[in-house]
This record gives sequence, structure tokens and C-alpha cells, in this order.
Amino acid sequence: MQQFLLLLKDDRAGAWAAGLSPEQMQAIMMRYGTWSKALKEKTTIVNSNKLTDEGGKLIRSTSGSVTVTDGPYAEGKEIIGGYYLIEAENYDQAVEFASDCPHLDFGSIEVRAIHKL
Amino acid sequence: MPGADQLVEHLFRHQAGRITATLTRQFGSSHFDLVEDAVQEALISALRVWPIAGIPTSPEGWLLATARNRAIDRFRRDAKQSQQTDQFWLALATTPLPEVPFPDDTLTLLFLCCHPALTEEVSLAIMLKSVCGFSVEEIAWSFVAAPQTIAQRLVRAKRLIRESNIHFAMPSDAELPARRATVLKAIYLLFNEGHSRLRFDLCEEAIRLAEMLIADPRTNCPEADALAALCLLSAARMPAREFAGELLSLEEQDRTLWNPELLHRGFLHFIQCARGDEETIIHLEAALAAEHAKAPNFAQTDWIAIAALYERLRQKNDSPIVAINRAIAIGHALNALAAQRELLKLDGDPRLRHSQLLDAAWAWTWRELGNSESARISTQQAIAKSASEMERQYLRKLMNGHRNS
Repeated sequence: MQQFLLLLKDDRAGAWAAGLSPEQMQAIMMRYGTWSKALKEKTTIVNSNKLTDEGGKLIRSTSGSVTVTDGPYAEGKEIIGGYYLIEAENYDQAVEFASDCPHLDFGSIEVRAIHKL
Repeated sequence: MPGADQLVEHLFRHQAGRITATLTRQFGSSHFDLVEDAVQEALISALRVWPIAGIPTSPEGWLLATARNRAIDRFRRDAKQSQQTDQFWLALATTPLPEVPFPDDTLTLLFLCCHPALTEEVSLAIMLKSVCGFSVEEIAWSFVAAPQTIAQRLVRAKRLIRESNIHFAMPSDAELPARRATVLKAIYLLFNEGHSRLRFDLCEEAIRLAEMLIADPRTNCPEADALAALCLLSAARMPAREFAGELLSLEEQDRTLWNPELLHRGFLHFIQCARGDEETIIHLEAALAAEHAKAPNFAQTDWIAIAALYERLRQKNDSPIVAINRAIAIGHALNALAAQRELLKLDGDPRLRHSQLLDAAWAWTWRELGNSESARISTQQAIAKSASEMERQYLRKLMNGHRNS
């Protein structure tokens, strides 16, 4: 058994949600509920968190000098908005767990294994 | 969602209206637009956060706090508002949020949307958007209108609210009866759309609004009970009206599909609506719905009572549709010849020229009298005028030999 990070990425501004009606939003919420309930029956969700859509800092060091900028704001690229830390046997299984996540209608999911020492 | 419970049905939609009302009270109706945008932002935020972080213990409180913060942010960003003093911001930002469950200002918002400065169609649009929480597309689809048209009505509504400087408050005692009549009419229009288009969700919404009026002592009145009764008794019977995409005649409808809880509530309101002195059109329509709803089967329908109710309705509403329904009721109560005598009085009525209802009524009488050739001709005339495929399918089915009412 391994641990995997499911990194949920999408546009920080959440533009995909802009035109949705309250009823449509609630329907999407229900889909997430169904997915996570099913996931809990298949495996353990160790942890999950949402990262704030505002704020964030990028720290870099160039020739010994540390710079801090606001971000990430990568244009047109997807930003990590949240994560699930789950257990799975292997990549195939982790990917299978993530494949029917409603998030995929709005963004992408990066699946990364936690390195076991 | 870790530790999440299911959300109450329509929570987002209902809270959208409720929070819009509370914040419009706080910020003033001239900032209606800003408030609506803030509420939408709060809902989007919930949609993005709750699936991963879990549904908060009080979703309503979370949404209200988030919406208010967004409203304050928007208010600040608007260049004109930045003229405000630091004291103003402090006051606004530190006014405590009401305790959850917070007072419900939705009724006041409903009255605001139905203000006399707004025309009926504009009122209906803004009511559906702001109180009921439907989107422009959902409203357009419900009322068979272009989204552009609805959007324009909403713009006009907000402009009128701003320009007329309409205060966010319930009308005075003197103004209330007239204002309430407008609100009841708007709810009735919503119900009518739901009923004729077999849209249970619209009827459900009409029920919610009617019961909101009944729950408040300022707006409670027999007519509101009558409207609630009409909506409930119709909604209760709706599941039986179609099967596999086809309309069923009253006689064919499976009454075991009727919703007993909605019937019970409907009858209760119907009894309560009898307390007033005035018998309004809504009272009569509710009474007609009650007559159908109380019949355990088609054969035991009290057509004499129904015909008499249509007669009374005709005194207040001389719509030819009422006259046709009255004729059919007389046909059921007595015989088809009696119905035909009534239908003859409507021949040549210009209001019925493009409607299939008169031809369909004639077709029924011919079928009752065993004259299948005349029935076929009338049915074909009805089909030619019909605006809906479902209706045409229904008429064709009748023509091909099924009994109807």
C-alpha cells in the first residue's frame, strides 16, 4: 500500500463556475459528494485540503539574494487548488480512483506517489 | 467531502435569495447589483471549497459571511465609493452579522421585486432571479423566452429600483393590500407556467412563496391560502398527467401516483381560504382543483359542482377557455348535446381563432355522441392549430380510438 497525492488543478479565478446557476452548482456539489463517499468505501483518504484562491507567495534565490513575489499567477496554466492524500496499491489504482472525480470537468488532476523510504 | 452531510434540497437557490435580501437591507437597494454579484461569488466559493474542505456546520452562515465580505470588497473597489470615510468602512465591516438562523428578509425582497414601478414581466423576471435564485438561462427556458429578453428585463428592473429610490422595506399598512395583490399575481403566473408546462419545480417554488406570505401575519390572507391550495393540489396530481413522454387524459391518469402529502397540505389551505368574505378567481380555481383532487376516481367526479364553479368563475373571468371548460363540465354532468349547445355560443369568437381548444372540445362531444367522422374532422382542425408536439400526439391518440375527458 502506498500513498498518493491527487493534486487538483484549475484556473484560480474559477472562471468555469462563473455562468452556473445556484441549482447547477448544487448538482455539482452532489456529484463530489457521491464521488468522495464512494472513494471512502474503496480506500482511505488520509487528508484533503483546499488551497486559497487568493494570495500565495513565490520565493526565489538568485545569486544569494532572496526575492519574494506574489503568486502563482501563471497565465493560462493550471494552478493547484487543492489536494487529496489517499492510499492506493499502485499508480493504476490511484489513477482509477481519480478518474471519475467531478473536478475533471473543470480542470486536471496530477497524481504523484509519495516516496517511501 | 470529509465529514460532509447532504445539503438540504435547493439550499443554494433558496439561500441565494435569502442572503440577497439580508445584504440588500444592509447595503441599500441602490446597491442591488453589487449584492447579487457578491452572493454569486460566495456560491462559487462554496462550490470550490466545500467539496475538498467539507461542508461547514452552518452552510447558511458561511455563505452569508462570505457574501458580505465579497460585497464589502466590491464596494471598496468601486471608485465612487472610495470617497467614503474610514469610519464608514469600519462601521460596515464591523456591524455584527446576524445570528444563524438569521432573520429572513426574503418576503421584503419579494415585495421589492413586485413594486408598482416595475411592469409585470419585469417583476416576474427579477423575482425569479433574485428571490427564487434561478439563472437567466433557467428563467428563459421556463418561460419560453430568449435569454437576451430576460437579461434586458433584469437590467430594466435594477435600473428602475435604483432610479425610483425604492426603499428596502415592507409597504405601509395602507399600501399593503394592493401591493400584496401584485405579489399574489406574480406567484400565480409562476404557478401557471409550471402547471401548463408540467414543471413540478416551478409549482414547488410557487408553493414556497405562497406559504411565505401565509407565514407572515402582515401578508397572511385568505387569497394566499387559496393560491397555496391551488398550487399544492395541482402539484400533487402532476406525476399522473404524463407517462413515457405522453399526456394522459384525466380518465386515464393513475391516481395512485398522486402525492398524498401535497394533497393533505392543499386541502388544509383550501379549508382555511374559506374564512374570508371575498370569493376571488383564485378561490374558484382552488375549488375546481379540490373537486378533482377529492374524487377517488374519474367516475366519481362531481361534474355538477365543477360546472357550477365554472359558471361562477365565468362571472369574474370571461376568458373563452373558462367557457369551454364549463361546456365540457356540463357535458359530463348532463350529456354531450348540452355541451354542444354551450360550445355553439363560442363559434366565431375571434379570441379562439388560433386555439385548438374549441376544436378539441367539439371533437370530444362528437366522440361522446358516437359520430366518429365529425370527431375526426374536429380533431384534425385541432391538430392543425396546436402549438405543441406533445399536444398533437395526444390529439392523434384520441382520434385513433382512446377515450378521453
